[in-house]
Amino acid sequence: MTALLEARGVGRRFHAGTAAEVRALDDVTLEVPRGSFLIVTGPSGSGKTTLLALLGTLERPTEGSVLFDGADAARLSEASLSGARRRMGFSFPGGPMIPRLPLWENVTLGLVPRGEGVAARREIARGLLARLGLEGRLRSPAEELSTGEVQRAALARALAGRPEVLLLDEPIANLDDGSRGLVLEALDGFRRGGGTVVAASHDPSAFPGTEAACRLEAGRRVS
Amino acid sequence: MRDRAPMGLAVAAAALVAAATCVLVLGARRPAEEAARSEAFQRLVGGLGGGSAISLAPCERGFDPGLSGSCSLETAYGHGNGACCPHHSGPSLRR
Amino acid sequence: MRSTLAVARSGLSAVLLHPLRSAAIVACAAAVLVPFVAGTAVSEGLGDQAADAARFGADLVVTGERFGLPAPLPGSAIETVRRVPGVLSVRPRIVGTVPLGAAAEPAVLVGVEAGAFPGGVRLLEGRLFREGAGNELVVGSRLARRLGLAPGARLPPFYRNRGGERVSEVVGVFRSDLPMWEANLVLCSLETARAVFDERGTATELLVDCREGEEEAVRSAVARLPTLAADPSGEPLRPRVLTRADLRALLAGGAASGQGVFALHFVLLLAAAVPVLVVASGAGLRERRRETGVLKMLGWGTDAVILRALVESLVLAAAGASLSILLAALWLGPLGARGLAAVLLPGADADPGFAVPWRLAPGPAAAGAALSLALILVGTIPASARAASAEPLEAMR
Repeated sequence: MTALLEARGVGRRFHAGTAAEVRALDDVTLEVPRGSFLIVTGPSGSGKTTLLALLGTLERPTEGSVLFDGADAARLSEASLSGARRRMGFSFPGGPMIPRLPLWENVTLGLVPRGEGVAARREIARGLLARLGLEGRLRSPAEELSTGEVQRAALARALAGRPEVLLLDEPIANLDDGSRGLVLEALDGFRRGGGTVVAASHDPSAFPGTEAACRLEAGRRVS
Repeated sequence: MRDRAPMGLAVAAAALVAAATCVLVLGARRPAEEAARSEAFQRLVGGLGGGSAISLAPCERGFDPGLSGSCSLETAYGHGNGACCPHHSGPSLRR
Repeated sequence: MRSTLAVARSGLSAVLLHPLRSAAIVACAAAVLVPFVAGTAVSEGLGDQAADAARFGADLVVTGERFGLPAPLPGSAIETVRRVPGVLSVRPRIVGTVPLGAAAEPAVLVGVEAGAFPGGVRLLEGRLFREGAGNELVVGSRLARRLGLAPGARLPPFYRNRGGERVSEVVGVFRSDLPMWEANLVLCSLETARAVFDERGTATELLVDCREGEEEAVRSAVARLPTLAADPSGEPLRPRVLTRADLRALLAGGAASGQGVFALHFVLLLAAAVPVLVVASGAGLRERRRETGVLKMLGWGTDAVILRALVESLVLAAAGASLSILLAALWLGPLGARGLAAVLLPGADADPGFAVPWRLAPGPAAAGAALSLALILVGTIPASARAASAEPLEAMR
């Protein structure tokens, strides 16, 4: 069976060819089997966020290739790329959310092009936010949420589209024990449903039951 | 932003467009009383006016284009010199 | 269809998400369109009243020319023209200008023969001058207001002729809701007008009515007259004849040139407003780019992003155009075109004091609305398209 996600010798350079060139990622190869829970770990600045972005086709690598379900992302049309992203769920620090939009709308924004009605979207958001302890914030604008609440809301948004894979950047950082427990429970439920998770974290021990880890240092994979 | 706000905006926009359309349709018709007054006035004075000015100065044709064959401002600057009175911007009528 | 409606609703949300920007765009669009809609409405109203001047005037207007310039007609010209076959009636008229009052208000003095005046419509406060009564005047509403005149008022001598000076009496004041050419008008008898200009027996034009179907024949015959001068052996006084069709053509040209001048004003205003409107539409570019990045991350396609921006632009353009029509109607109606009249109508004050003619024109209003939509789209769509084609993470930074 092909891996759901695959990075083959990917690299990402910023300001390439200039004196300010930065190699955020350098020749990283990685396979993410279906149904697996992969932790990407490493110190700050090691390229974890960049790797997640490349795997999620949110950025193009400057070297190498990224495959999603066996297809080279660089060869996909714009419509196919959008379709691929709909099969993924993303969570980055800060969301990011649309500040003045109510939380339920932020969480289900990805369902709009699929034609989901307002009432259906609100119910989906209500269920997801309740699981993550945010049922009281359904109608709050995203800009009124705390950092921890935004983080949980970002996970709810990632789950809203019933994705096949979650790409999460520090999903439990800045969370108290109670909130952390809700997030881990939600991820566990997702995995039991056959979902695949790739999470970047400083603290892999916080994720019991993960099968594999990929460690990055200075943009290179060291293990 | 309340849940119903977008639909509320759509309704408000539609109401605004409807109001403007009504005003446009009603305002595009000439009131009968105004037409009657205009006719009575013109019959009284023998057909007068038609230009955008309310007096004969500085250009009589700005008040009534039919008043004279030439405009005193055009005359002052000379016919056929390419100078046209800005108040009526048309060549003199030559018969 | 459902997804299109859902994306369209999202476009409505986008309007509400950025209330200040949306309000600024609507205000800019309205500010550009209001003077255009109002100005073209005045032009249309003026055109209606101008058409009446041709329609309800005489069949032919005969004036005299000497050295290619207008010259007064002697009394004998009336009989000369009356003898032309096909002529039903010939009415002499005097039209001239006199300064009135300390501020030398340029009054249009019109002398006509007292005759059967149209009934059934109230035209003035007071009464018309009586036949044979000299120095009885009916003044226009603006003149009356400026000079503080009412029926019964007496005007000190404002002219001098060989007979000396005369005090005149205002016997009537035109209603201000008549065609605007009444505003500075002084209407009097032919004899009074002749006394004012010290022109005995003359007229500036002859109003000729013809038998039906014979207007062209009469026109040709009058135009072929060698002279309208009292002394045929002396200097010729060439006739100039205007038919109703000629007058309509002149009025159309005048209206068109007026509209042309106004269109020029509008283009200049638009040139100044275009950058403001485009900037207002593109305002919050960074926020819009970030939003687009989020949408792309969530699997929105570029066409959905563009549709969202399109709906947002349509709503704003519709609001701006509609508001401009309502504001223009308010300006022209209850506010009496204050300020606008002084720009469009030479001689009018900022508060005109007479009924400024207007009739809303759907064509120009629709064209203006289309233009404002185009400008808003220029400010919105390219920016959205660029953000949609950028990599989502880069757009979100």
